[in-house]
Amino acid sequence: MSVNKNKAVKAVEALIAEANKFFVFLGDPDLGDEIPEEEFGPRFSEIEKKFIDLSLLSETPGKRSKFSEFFSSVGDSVVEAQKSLDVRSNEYLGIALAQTHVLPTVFRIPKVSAEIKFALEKSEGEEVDLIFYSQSEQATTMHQQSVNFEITAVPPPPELAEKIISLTPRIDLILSLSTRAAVFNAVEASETLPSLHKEVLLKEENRDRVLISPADPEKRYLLLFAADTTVVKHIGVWHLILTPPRLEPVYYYDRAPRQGEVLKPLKDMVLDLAKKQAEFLKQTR
Amino acid sequence: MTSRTFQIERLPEETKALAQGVRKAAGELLKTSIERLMMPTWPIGECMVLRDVKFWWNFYMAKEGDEVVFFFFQKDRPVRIILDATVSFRAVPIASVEEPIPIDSSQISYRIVLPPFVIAKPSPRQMTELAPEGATAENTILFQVGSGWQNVLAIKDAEQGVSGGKISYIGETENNQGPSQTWRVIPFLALIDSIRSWISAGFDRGEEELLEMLDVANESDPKRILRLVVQAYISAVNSIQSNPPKVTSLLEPLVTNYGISGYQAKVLLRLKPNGELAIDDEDDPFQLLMHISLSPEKISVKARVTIGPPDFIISGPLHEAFISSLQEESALEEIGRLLGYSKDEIKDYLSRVGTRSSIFRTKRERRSDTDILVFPGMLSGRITLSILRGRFEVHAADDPPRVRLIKNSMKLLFAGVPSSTSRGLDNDTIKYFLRFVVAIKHWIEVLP
Repeated sequence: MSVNKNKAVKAVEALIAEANKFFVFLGDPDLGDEIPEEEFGPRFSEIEKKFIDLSLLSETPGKRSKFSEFFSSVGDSVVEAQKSLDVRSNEYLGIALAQTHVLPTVFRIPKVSAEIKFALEKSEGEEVDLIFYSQSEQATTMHQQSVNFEITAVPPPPELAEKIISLTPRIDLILSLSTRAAVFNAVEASETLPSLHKEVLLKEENRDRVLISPADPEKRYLLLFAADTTVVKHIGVWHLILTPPRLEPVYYYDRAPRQGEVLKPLKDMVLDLAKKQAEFLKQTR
Repeated sequence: MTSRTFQIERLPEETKALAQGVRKAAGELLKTSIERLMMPTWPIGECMVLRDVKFWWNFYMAKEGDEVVFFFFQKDRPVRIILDATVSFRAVPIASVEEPIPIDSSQISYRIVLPPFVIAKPSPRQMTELAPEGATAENTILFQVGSGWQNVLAIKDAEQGVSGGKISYIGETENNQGPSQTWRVIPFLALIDSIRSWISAGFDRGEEELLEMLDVANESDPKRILRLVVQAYISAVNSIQSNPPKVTSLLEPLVTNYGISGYQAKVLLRLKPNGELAIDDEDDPFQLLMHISLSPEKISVKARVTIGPPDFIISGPLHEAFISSLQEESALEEIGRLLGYSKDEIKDYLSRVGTRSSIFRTKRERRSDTDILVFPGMLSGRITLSILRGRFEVHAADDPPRVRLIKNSMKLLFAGVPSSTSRGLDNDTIKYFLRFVVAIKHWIEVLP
């Protein structure tokens, strides 16, 4: 931050002029040893005003924030902090589930309370500006307002939660053992061509790694499976109609990728999901 | 550049901005937490709600010509004399209301809590038998300073100061003897006791009287400030109940409604002898603390006003600082010389009676105050009361407050057992009480 030199010179000159006037007054031989307050006060006040004008030149501007923006940034911080805790909770759960004597738990920030001191200024528009000074001396004198608040994390009402779920785009995986069993029964019962490789889906060691997603719940499903081999092309997508049972190809299991097509990222993602699913299903049995 | 001082009439607008800020902030928080809400974790997401926001809003006021202005930074003050003001209130979540009903100034009921020893409506008998000659309800105020209908201190023409004011105690009027007059001690001891009891019980305890605020054109500065602080409350309430934040229809059920709770204001008034705001120290300002609290009552809102003399202290950190300053060696010597006792006897005396002393400021100067100290109690088995006047450097805003007696400034006004004829109080001390009387009288005058 810089100070305009001409303004500084003028301010200092004004201060010196007032100080000189005061000095002349003090030098008056008719002035007694005790100066009455009514003589001293007004003269000193003029010097004080000039000093204040000078000090204003070096005022370091504080950081401004609209009131609502301040709370929004506090909210962002709380969300980010909770996200970090979620990651830690996930890691902790991974450890806890492996140890039967440890109770699984998640870590949450239920409430944030704070008291903030700041300066206040009205600028353009309807809102007021919060100003935070970083220099400690300025902060001490300028942060004269305070606000004490609580931000609480609350779950939404159940009906709203359902609505949010219904509106939120997502891909569900069928994890229910009974529904999965019904899907595999339909696969087995369906008449298909060998090119569909339904035996891959029905192989016992593969079943838990078949990803099943409802295209139309209880009626139609999409099945994904990737073999955990170095052969890139062994990844397939099937469409299953439950009644009457009918299995259709979406992406052939033994289809080699065309030139330029990169299957590996998709295969890796499916393998990763499949591995987690298999672990989960193992725990539920 | 942003203006740094604002006309007092803008106070409601600024308060409205703060209240609106809360609603807008709540909306921003909701939008921020949308991501969390959508997270497919158990329990199903969470959203963040802004609860219980409490503001302490400190600002200053000053008289600039005919205008009263307010500002946030003391260095922006336009004149020497400024008023310290603090407005505090809470924005709290409330149940949803289909159509919030706005409030307006016609629903405000103003009540003032006068000191319990003020006889707001004296009887004709009290006025004729106990007040100075020529006393009327308009020019005289009566204080009940003891039990019994005749224990009355009556002060006529207080605005005329020590030269023109007339004081009667239990029907006996003081004779004005001129500039070197010393006044009887007993009447003012009775008043000091009454003030002391009032302060220790709390300013806000007492009978409420209806306060008329209809004459806006001729209202005094303190009443103007009162009216605008109340209008600021109205603005805040109406603003926070309406203007919901703009969010998507999905989030609308999560929008929290807010109300205003615990709204109060403390304004340290500095008044000229005529009851108007002082502009300069030359106005010899008298300090009065006005405390305003607003609370809804069914279909109306009560604005409760209490007033008190902040310069009169009987306890607390500042009182302790005064007593400590007298425990310094030089102070003990000075007081000992005045009372005719040794330093050790004075030290012992102060340690015993210090907590029961009353201290009040009669004059405020740039770098020092003149204070009266009233010490009741035995001193070496003889004196039961001593009244001292001294000049002190007072740093009340420090934590803890600091006080230093200015050397050789102490004067003994009275020491001994006060009788009905005992004198000793000087004009400056009486002037303090007259100024206090004027301040109270201005509030009584607008009672219906």
